[in-house]
Amino acid sequence: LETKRSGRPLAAATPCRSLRLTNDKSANIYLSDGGHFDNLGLYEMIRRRCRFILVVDAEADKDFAFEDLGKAIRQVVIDLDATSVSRTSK
Amino acid sequence: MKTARVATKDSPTFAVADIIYNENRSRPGTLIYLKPTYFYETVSGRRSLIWHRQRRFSAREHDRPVVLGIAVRKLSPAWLLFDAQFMPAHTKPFADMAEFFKVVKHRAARLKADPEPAVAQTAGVTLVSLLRPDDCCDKAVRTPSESNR
Repeated sequence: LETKRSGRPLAAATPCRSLRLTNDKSANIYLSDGGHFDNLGLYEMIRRRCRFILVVDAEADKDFAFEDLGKAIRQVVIDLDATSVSRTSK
Repeated sequence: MKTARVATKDSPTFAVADIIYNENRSRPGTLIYLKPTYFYETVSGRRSLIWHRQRRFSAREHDRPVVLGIAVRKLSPAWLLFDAQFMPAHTKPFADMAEFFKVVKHRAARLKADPEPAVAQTAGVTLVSLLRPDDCCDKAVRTPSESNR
């Protein structure tokens, strides 16, 4: 969602976003649900060191390939150093 | 959980994982992963969920109880139920939910006598995989309306 503080969509904001010139102080604000990075919210939960996480995956995954889960785990392992997610042995 | 290409009817319908944090590796966290549309009907048939729903409502011989649900017990006083079923307007609302609770009861009774039940226990949480084909086809879990046919 791209918007100006006036409330009207602004096509000119696209170049600003591409150049990372949009922030909460600028006239143009770029809002997103974060799905382009982590569609499950798992990354943030692990970053905050939550001990019990319940993920309900309602993504569009008609082939049941678990792409978002795999991507989230890969991001966690790469970005949050020395944190691993593995299948429980219990 | 397995992807649709390699999944079988007995594949688990949920996943439990340990999260090992660097600062405290001896005390891992717990991740529970649920996918509301991941059921054996959708996976083993390797067809779309909509296809199965249409088949269910168009062919009477296939109109068996289709139970949706993954139950998380002891997570809260109530059961958590994620109902993502395709529900045409002419169907009885929440009919599958009623079936679900029948299967829960039936399955729970079976688990008591099962030496290796399909239960994963971790961190005080018990997950029960309820979606087995024999459950859905068992007479004990059929609806009264089906029994009268």
